[in-house]
Amino acid sequence: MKQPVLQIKDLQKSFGGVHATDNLTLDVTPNEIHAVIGPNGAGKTTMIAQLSGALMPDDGQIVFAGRDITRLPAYRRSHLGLARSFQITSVFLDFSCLENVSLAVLAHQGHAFRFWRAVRGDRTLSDPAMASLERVGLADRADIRAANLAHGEQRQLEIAMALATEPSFLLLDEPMAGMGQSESARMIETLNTLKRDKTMLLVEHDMDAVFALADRISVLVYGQVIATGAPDDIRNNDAVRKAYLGDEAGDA
Amino acid sequence: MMSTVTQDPPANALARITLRNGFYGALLVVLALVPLAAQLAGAGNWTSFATQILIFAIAAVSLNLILGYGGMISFGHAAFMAIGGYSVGIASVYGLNNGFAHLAMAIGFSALFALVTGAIALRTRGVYFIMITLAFAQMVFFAFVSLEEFGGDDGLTVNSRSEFAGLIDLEREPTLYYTVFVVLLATLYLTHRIVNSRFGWVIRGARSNEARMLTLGHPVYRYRLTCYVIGGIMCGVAGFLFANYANFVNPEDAAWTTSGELIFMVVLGGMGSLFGPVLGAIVFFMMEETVGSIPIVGIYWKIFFGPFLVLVVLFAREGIDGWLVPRAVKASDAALADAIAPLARRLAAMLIDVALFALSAWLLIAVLGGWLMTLPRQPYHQDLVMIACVYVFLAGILVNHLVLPASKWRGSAGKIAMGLAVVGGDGRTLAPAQAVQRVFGQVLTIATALIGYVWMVADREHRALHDRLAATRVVVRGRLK
Repeated sequence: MKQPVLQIKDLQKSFGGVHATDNLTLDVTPNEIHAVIGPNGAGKTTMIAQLSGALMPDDGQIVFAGRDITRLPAYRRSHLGLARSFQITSVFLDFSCLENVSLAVLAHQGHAFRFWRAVRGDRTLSDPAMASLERVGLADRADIRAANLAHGEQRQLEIAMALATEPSFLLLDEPMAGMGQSESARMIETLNTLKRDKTMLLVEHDMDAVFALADRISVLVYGQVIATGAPDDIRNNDAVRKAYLGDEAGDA
Repeated sequence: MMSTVTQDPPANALARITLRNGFYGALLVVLALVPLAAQLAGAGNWTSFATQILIFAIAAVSLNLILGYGGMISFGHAAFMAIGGYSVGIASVYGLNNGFAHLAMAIGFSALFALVTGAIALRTRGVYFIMITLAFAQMVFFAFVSLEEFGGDDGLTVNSRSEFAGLIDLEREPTLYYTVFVVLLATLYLTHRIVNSRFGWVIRGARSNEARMLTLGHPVYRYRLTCYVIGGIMCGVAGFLFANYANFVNPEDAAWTTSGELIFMVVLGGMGSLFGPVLGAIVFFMMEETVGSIPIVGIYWKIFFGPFLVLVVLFAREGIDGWLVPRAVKASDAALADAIAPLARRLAAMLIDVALFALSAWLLIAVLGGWLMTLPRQPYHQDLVMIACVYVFLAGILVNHLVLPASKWRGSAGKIAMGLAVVGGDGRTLAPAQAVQRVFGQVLTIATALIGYVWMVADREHRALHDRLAATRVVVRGRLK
């Protein structure tokens, strides 16, 4: 088996008495799409937040590309090639699509302590930004304000921004959230084309998408991984069935 | 050819200049001519008054960089005014009158103060940031109050203005004014360059969504701190100019009330707009001057400014600058073209309205108010009576300019008398929101030295600034189909 590119070891995070992340251990190997599923409140977004640096874990270790990044500030992780898309759409609403992605390109190009030259018309920013928009099929919407985009398009923009930092690894927090069927299909297509040169950790509720995309699936319940395996193994795993059925029975 | 376009066709290059840019351009021209006009009118205090406005405009522009573009709600910006001012004041106590040294100290101390306090304050967010910036400014205030050898809370008289090796003589009022004017232009240009640069984009992105900027890989903190320092330096320069203007520095310059006034100006003019704070400063001082000059109630002018600010925040979130974006004219204007009111009739209508104002102001404030105050026994506070009279007067203005135009009479008393009507772009009676916008537009037209009426003469359909803003036209009642 290939060396894992991302290793999560015994990660711990609690809020008050709630163990949102409880001894979480997980490996992601290069160029795989590793899906993380689990019932609501299983700690999926908390896990992503710790991986991206928005939250600091209480204990445990995160190793990315052979480097311990457990305490690294969020902005430094981006420069190592780790990019995140958000569950709740988190784009710059008062900026145009192209400007949104330009802000991402700007981050990738190093410091922005340049006070004089105008950004608008700067090809070194707009060209890569446009390329990212093309990859997710938003090129014709470049000048539209992000606030005026359809929901599905905003999700695509999220991905374009993550891509513009030229990451090797994508942390995708429910990229299909709130999408219609055709929008989801389009997103699946987009992610599939990215698979060639990116590793992805995908948190998703849309099971069709998960089984269409994932090479491996980990199931998270109460902050712990209860099973990891190929999609077929997970489909037939008793513990997983119990977790999900138990959850549904609880809902009813 | 029949015109069915939604906007005025760009007939010539001049027409293509947007309303906003045209307005600001005209404003700068007027500002450039102030000393000349003052000399012609023999009113030397105009220049002095305008100097004060422009100095505060510089301070407001610098606060806007932090608050409007950077989203950092600093409630202690006045501290930089005082630091810049005392750099001049304290130096001159020791006989150091060199302007270059003054300026260097104003910039240096402002930068240092911004760097140290900003480094601490920017670790907090929201209300905590507001409170900690306030606390730092109050610290400066009390520091200067306690410095007895530099005047303490009485302030410090600056005996001679900064000397620039004979290059600039700030003792001459017009020279001081133009110096301030050039500094304002430079501040605006610098701000323009900064907010459109890479640095500026990071600052604006962080205002919009800080978490996202961090995740993208922007170390937001150091950009914000840099922005805070730049804004502080600009305001320190404003303080340097203010000490030279007033020949006096005072701990009050750092007081929270001054910081609050600067925030007023920025919010009033429009947060995150380049020229907005300049407009905010102009309107702020114009209101202080006009309302403040009314006998007795003048000292309470903020009682009137308060509600005005509330209205601005309610109806124009982007401040005055936001009003300068005209409503789109929807319907064709061909049907109205024949009914446009001639200038002479509009002028007559305007004169009737002005006469009505003058009469009612005189009746209410001078006659009624005066009579009330001569009553031998007064169970009420005199000043409150006068304030009530002014509010009745303002209510009258609102009825005449807001209620009547939006009613079936479709115009103020003067227009009704002259057979004119105010209509929307499609010839219909104004919607209440449109009438509100028109009134705000009128305030703007008048408060900025009547610049807004320039459009009325130039425009083919005789639309003044407020007509353009609210997409209204003044027509002759009888000719309306």
